[in-house]
Amino acid sequence: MRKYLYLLKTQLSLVATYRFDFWWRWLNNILQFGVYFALWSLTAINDPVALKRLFLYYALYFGIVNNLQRGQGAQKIADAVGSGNLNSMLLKPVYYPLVEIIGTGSRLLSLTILPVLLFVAGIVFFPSIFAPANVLHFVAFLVLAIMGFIVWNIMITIIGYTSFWVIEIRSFRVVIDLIFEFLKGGYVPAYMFPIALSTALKFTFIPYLVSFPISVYMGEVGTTEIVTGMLTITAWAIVLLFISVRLYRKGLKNYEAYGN
Amino acid sequence: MEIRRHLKIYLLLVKASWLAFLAHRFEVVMSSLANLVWTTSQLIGLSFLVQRMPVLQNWTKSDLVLLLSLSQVYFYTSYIVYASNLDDMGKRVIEGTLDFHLLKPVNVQFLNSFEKTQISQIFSFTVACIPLIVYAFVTRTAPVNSILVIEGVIVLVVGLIVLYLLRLTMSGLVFFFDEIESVNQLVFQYMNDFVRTPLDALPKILLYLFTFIIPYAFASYYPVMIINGNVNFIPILGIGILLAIVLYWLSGRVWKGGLKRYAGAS
Repeated sequence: MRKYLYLLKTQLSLVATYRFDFWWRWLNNILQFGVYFALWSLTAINDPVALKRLFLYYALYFGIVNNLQRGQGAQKIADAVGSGNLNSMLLKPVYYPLVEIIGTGSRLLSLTILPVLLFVAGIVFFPSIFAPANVLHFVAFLVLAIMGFIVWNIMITIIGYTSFWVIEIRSFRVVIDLIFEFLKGGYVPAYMFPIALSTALKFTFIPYLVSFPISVYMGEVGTTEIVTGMLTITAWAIVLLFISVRLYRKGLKNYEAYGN
Repeated sequence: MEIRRHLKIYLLLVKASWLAFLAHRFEVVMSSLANLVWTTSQLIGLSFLVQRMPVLQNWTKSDLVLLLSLSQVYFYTSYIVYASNLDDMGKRVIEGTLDFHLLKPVNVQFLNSFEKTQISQIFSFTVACIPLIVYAFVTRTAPVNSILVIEGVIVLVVGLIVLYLLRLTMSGLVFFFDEIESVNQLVFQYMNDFVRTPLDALPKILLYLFTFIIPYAFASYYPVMIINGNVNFIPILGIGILLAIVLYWLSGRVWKGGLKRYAGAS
């Protein structure tokens, strides 16, 4: 356990090393927020309530929740498998997928620092816009955001493991990213989806990654639904973890590498 | 003579790209699919938007679809011809593999821009863009004026050239600033979303930004406005040509200065 904590500490220290990169990523977040808010705000002209909802939705989406669900974890796994560098990790007394998740996850956690601080400042100075519905909803939002982070990282390991069978997965990963970005509610706010689509998505874990936590923050769901949502995402996490572990073991049986 | 020689070289490079395309079929299929999914998601998003607002500040559905389709023309053209090559500039400078390009008796800007052609995206371009453009024109309620369409196409072509020169200039800055790749990503990936946004619906400052600084407006917004007869062709064409001249001069200066600073790996 200590080695993983040490790895986490080392990865987080990279924030201090690559400061420019992080500042630019935060700027990119602001830009993405600006683009999509500007576009969809055209549907909420003369409706301050809808405008506020849209603002908070995209602020939470691009500021915090989606930041926890990015990264190149799948590509890094694919590169390690394709190049044969996975060998060096297999010789070490660590569980490779967990190392990758810590590496990717620590970067993502550091990306959320500034938006979280801005949100706290927003809650203090502009509570009518930024404040959550109540403390319970806020805590539930945090828990769901962390669960979403875990589920997402398990999912990208599954995508990465396809490289055991298909060498180049770069574009495959992009296809998956695009589909998820759309279905999570990035290009179109999730609450504007047609009812048929929203209903179909309820059978997947996708709404629980971003749009459900945001709805919880805004107080749009009751306590029963929050509990149901948490149980649902936990169940999905277990299922995906099972698939990930099985796929990794199968992939290792298929894996070959030559050289040093 | 030089132009003919570079054209022959370009055809050889395209042939090499074609052979590479045949060697990595799964990646090629996925790469085409990725861009098709992107275009489809934008079209679906547009449909959701139009469902809520059939007319978006004087922009009808067919106008928005035309705006989207022209933005996709820019996106695919840049991606097929030069974008991935120029995006690799930073890596070539850092690793020193730019030396291989410098040793060749070919214009270095030309080689760095057009080395690889994304053959697979030609399929995506055909499947995604052409039906969208046809759909946009078929669903128009206003009559289509052929002269305005030709003028719109001319401005689009000028826009494509201007945006190429901008990208060439920005990629040349990698000789001076290590972190310029992040800036390029900001400009050419994240700001890309503005190409398919009706700019007159946004604050005026953004219209000026995307006309004079990052001229995305020439790739889609102005061509659509010209086709609709909402703006005059000559001033827009004049601004576009002026920007092209300025960026051509600037890219030459940046690359010349950058190559003087370049140390290489040898």
